[in-house]
Amino acid sequence: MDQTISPNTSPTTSQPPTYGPNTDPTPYIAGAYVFGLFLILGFAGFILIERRHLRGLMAALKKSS
Amino acid sequence: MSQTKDSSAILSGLFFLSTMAATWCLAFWYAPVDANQGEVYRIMFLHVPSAFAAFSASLVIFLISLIGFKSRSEESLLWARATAEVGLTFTILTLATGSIWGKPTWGTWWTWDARLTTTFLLALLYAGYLLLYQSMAPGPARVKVCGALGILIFIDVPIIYKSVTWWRTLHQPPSMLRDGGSTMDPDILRTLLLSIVAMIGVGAWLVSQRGRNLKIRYELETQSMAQIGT
Repeated sequence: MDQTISPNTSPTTSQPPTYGPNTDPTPYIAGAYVFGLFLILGFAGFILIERRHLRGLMAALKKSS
Repeated sequence: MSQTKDSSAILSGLFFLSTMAATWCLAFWYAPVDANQGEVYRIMFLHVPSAFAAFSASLVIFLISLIGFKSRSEESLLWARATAEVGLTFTILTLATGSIWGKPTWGTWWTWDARLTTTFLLALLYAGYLLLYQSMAPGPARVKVCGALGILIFIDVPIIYKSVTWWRTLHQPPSMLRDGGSTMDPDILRTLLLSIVAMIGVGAWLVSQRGRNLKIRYELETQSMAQIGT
């Protein structure tokens, strides 16, 4: 009987592998890049929003003095 | 004048982010499939550059700490704080992408392997730096204590790098910066080097903009204190 044994699959079960070369990499790659994008763009967005807020405060302070 | 500065900051940010996006495109469409790992290795084009950006941040903090010891200037600490924030962000990204890569490759999200543990320590040190900065009152003592921690952060980086050769680890040994040259395919190496440069560029932009914000905040505080005093 021809059987392919991957690191984490038993030849008696037909469950998809959870690791090893036969694993579908798409969700992992997508997850990593989406998380990276979220973190970097989130930080950049926070900086730019904070800048606008600080400029507003600076203008108000100059007006009041 | 400040509006012009802000517009140029946005433009330069767009430039660095599009450079990073371009290297991601190279990672998907130019770099060939890895013979051993298959497609999942493409996470490396995000994981390794993030690590290099985090390491670069530690070098900047180290230099600022040395300057701070000499000048005792609070302003230098503002830039160190901005760098620590960016360093922490990139260390978190390194740990997260490494973990995501580890699951389909090693079969586990996390293991207390030497490389992973020392990188986790780097994240803790960056977080500790920020906590210390926030908890101490401004003055020469804060410059001194934060400077000492800044040096400690920098010391952790060569330990992270050598961890895979000093201890038996699950993490693979260096394949780029190793004796006898890189073992990588030239196309993969080229893409990886470009990704590292682009990510360090993004990191530098984040530090410069965050540092500028902290400086504006500092000016606001001193000006409002002066107004209260008059």
